[in-house]
Amino acid sequence: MDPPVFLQQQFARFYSSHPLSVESVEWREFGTGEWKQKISSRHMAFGSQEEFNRFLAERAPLYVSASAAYYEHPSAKPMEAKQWVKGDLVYEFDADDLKPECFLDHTFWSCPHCQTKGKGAPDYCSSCGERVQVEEWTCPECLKATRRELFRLLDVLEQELGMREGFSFNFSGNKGYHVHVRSPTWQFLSPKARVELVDYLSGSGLEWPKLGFEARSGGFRLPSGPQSGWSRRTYDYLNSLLAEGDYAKIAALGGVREADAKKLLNDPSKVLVALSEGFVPSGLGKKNEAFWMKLLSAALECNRIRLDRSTSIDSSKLIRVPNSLHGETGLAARVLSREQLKEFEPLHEAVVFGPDSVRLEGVRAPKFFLGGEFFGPFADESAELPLFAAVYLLGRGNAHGIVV
Amino acid sequence: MSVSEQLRFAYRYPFSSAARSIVAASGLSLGHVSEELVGQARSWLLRKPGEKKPVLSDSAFSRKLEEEVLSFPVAKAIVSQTNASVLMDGFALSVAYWCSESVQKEDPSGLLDLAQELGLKPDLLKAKPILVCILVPDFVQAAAGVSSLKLVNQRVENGNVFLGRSEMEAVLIELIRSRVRSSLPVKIGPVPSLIAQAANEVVNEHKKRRKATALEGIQGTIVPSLFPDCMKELYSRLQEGRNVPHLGRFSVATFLLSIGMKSADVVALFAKTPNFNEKLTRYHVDRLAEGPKGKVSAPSCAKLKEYGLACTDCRFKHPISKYVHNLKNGGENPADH
Ligand SMILES: [Zn+2]
Ligand SMILES: [Zn+2]
Repeated sequence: MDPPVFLQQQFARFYSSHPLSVESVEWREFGTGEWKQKISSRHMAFGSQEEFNRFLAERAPLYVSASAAYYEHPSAKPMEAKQWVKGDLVYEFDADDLKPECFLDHTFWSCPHCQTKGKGAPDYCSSCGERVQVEEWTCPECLKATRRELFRLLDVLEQELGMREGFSFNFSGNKGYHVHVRSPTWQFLSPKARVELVDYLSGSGLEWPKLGFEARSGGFRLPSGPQSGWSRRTYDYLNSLLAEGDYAKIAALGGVREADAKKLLNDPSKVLVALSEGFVPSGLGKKNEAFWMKLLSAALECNRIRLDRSTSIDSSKLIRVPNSLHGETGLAARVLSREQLKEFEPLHEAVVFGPDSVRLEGVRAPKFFLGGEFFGPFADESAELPLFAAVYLLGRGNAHGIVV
Repeated sequence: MSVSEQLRFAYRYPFSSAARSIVAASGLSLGHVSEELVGQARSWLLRKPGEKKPVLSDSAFSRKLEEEVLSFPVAKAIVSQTNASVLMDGFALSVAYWCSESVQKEDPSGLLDLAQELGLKPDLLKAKPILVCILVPDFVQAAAGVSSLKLVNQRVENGNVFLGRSEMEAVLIELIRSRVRSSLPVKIGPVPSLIAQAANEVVNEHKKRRKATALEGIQGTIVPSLFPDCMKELYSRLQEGRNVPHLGRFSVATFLLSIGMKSADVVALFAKTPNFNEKLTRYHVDRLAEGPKGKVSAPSCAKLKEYGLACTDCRFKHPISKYVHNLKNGGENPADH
């Protein structure tokens, strides 16, 4: 049996017994996707939850997404005719945007031209120079890193921007998490205003002098006293970096020799006091400016939130319906409370299909973790797997077919 | 606010609700506006960037103030009638600019009144250098897109943006601009002929200005080697003291004046021609440079062709555009690209 047909049969069974509930369903535009195409048709609308769930059970799309926007006429075409009313703020985090350390360990490339294979995600083949195909996997570690980034976002949203209500969280169904903010204080923001929020979160367009940081050959000036937002986070970064006193690390970050870093910090407590008072006299002469600018860049890199920009600023974006199935994994985009989120193990708890055994052909996969167990590795072989793992491999394209 | 305070506020901020109620009370109807009022409205639309507000004497005061307030909705009707979004953008910008002068003079409580008028509710802190704080969503909604007001470069804490006086002014001015822009175009029923006529005039005037600004960058840059061939020919004939027919003299003189050559230099160029009469030449050149309608414009390629002076097909409609192009591209032909 063809993988898409099999997947749709499974999805139909799931949807007919697990109705979804979409917030303000009648105001949203919907889109669905098929095999290898996350959105293949859009401009759909449903008058009620029941109508939407009937559609899911009958058509069993491999992907189903809804607009963050609320429209007067969600199915109208073109986009302007829909008449935008308001829109949730949406933030998305994906392991492949973060590239945590483990990520390259379970990312593989292969060259369609010369069949060379390797680990990591280069753009071009190392032996023939052609474009390569990249296959990404996830593991509990990178999903944890993605979740940490989400909690960093929440800190900034709440403590700095004052966003305090209307949060809804869900797993994306594959490599990350989504945050929806449904609060009337924020839902009416213009597209440009949303860009401002994203720029703030990701630190783009940040100008140090405007925040009171100035590196000169004569010394390094920074805002003193209680500081806000970016300047406080920057100060905290510099303060803890210098307090830690790891000369090798400071030298590497600041682009100077270790001896220079030592010279600058020969009396660390003095430097820390100077930092808190807002002026650190030059210890490095001509190199001073470049040194502090590099440390500021390191602070920015550390403090910026690495979210998916396009999701947050595209006002017509369609986003996976919470609790729906992801066609590439068969995992559910589980809605999670903040408490649940802290402990959530997606590769275990987002599994929805059962343990019934299925025989697959042409299975190729490295060792992977799913549903609390490890599977594989498989080298183009036939294998007997529980249904949830079979759906996962078929959806990803790591198996050819099902023996019925 | 007293009546006269209200009038003064409306004069400073003609988009405000105070101004709207003065307009409503006056019974102004677009179908019956006076020519005078339309003229005043036109001046809203033709104001150049940086033009100062007229200083009003006390005697003429309240009458003038009221006229100015009444002319604002007329100006909006005229610019709407042009149907040109670029003119509406420009109008909104120039209103904001016009108001900025008043904004800068407001005391803190005046700034708060204006903020309230614009739908903003800042808290006055009066701590130096911070004047006010605004909620983050209100700030980004108001200031998004103004590069000097990027959120990432502000003091942000606990849901508030802390602004100094000049940032607060900038936020208000941007709000004025967007408020005026989003109120355009206004829908008017049958268009009174005075309004339609004024709209035409405004469109034409802006066309003229566009041409003028295209020339601004090159004013005074005289590089004969980059002149279009027709002008190069006339120019070198004059330099060599050969005779040039009257229409040729007229064409080259207007061309040189348009690109910013001083009249005295143009006169000197004619000095070597046979029968040179300095007084008469100066008189003619001065007339071309400062005629009753401003500088006389140089003839187009079509006219030059009529005069029998055009060079072979140079793909341009006007020798000046050809020259501007040459200056920007170092003389390369567009066909080479
Ligand atoms: Zn290759
Ligand atoms: Zn991983």
